[in-house]
Amino acid sequence: MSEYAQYEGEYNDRECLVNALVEQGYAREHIEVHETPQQLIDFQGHATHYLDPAGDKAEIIVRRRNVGGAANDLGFKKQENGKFAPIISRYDTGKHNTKWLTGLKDKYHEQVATKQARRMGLKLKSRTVVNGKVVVRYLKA
Amino acid sequence: MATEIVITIGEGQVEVDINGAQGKGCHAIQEGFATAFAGKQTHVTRKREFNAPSIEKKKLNQ
Repeated sequence: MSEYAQYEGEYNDRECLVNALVEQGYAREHIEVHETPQQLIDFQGHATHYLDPAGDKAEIIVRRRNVGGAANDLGFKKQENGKFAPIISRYDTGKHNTKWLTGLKDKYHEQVATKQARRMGLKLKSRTVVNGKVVVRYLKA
Repeated sequence: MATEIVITIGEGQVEVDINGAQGKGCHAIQEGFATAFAGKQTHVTRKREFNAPSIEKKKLNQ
């Protein structure tokens, strides 16, 4: 049940991804950010080799003790295209399910929008939730 | 006149509307803002311009 699977990810901004993980409930100090990918560990404390015979690795990691229960590490591995892809164990797909991943994506998109707006000096006009969707309006003078 | 940018986020999707010019996906935010303001619009498709040229072309070809 520790078997890891890699999911599709469009996260190419590391800072926004980390902020989105914080918004999804992980404390910032529990999110490891590495320049080089580090080994993922399963619930028994063993290094895993499901996706890569040399070891399953990721640059962004939430360690199993912070995921909860008998969880395995949660990772995000940088792909050749520069985007981070989630690496989630089968056991943890109960917590990190499609709904959770969709929520993460939404939080990430809002982080990217905020960052881009700040970079361009846009003024926030409003932020509302309409039919479950976040609608953010910016003004550029 | 101020330009209004509307970003709609939900269900894992993101859409951006800049004074009627629309784009979808995260790149529309990351690149669309800049390209739209620069007047290039490479990553933003304009409303009402869909199909218009191709329909005219079809008629001409007929």
